[in-house]
Amino acid sequence: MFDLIGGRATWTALGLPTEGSVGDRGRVAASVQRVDSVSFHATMADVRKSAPRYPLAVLGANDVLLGAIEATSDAEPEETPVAHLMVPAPHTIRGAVRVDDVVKRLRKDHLDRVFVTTVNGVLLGEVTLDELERKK
Amino acid sequence: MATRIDADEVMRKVAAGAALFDVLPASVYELVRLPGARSLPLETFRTESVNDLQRDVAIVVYCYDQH
Repeated sequence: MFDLIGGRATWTALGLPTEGSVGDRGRVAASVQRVDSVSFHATMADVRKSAPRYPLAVLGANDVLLGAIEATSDAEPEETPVAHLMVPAPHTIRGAVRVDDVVKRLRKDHLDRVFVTTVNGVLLGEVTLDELERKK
Repeated sequence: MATRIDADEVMRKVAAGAALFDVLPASVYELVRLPGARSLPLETFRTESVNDLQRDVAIVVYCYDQH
């Protein structure tokens, strides 16, 4: 038998998704969508094989988000390491943040999407402004 | 005696088929719970509650915080 260290309180503090009648209602965790990703050790040849949608998340060990590849990198030679092209430390939010607050921030920053990670930097996915506005 | 594991390990174990149990009161479980968790309130626990589990299935439990 196994016991979750810190219980449900730690789980929610990490920004991980929950269920229930209250659950993630009003929180971005309920709107997280899958996002394409690639390993930090990959090359542009690996990226093209998966025909990704940009921005593409770049992941290190344990799925920690290290950076993002933008569409402008698509013209780079196939042997180019992703690590040389990625924009490091992209903007992220936690799943426990309120939808209203994120919508305001995205509008203010003229962004249409943002990565969602745990407090440890593990990628959970992304949320888009369109989806969040639909759920408001 | 339970082995204490972190959230990442819980996700890995559940993905591998472990059964996840919320031992908080049922009313609390209804409000917020981990995805896929079953309600098994400690205060009303009876062994028959888990009769449907296979013996070789890993069991993960959680409370509100650290008991």
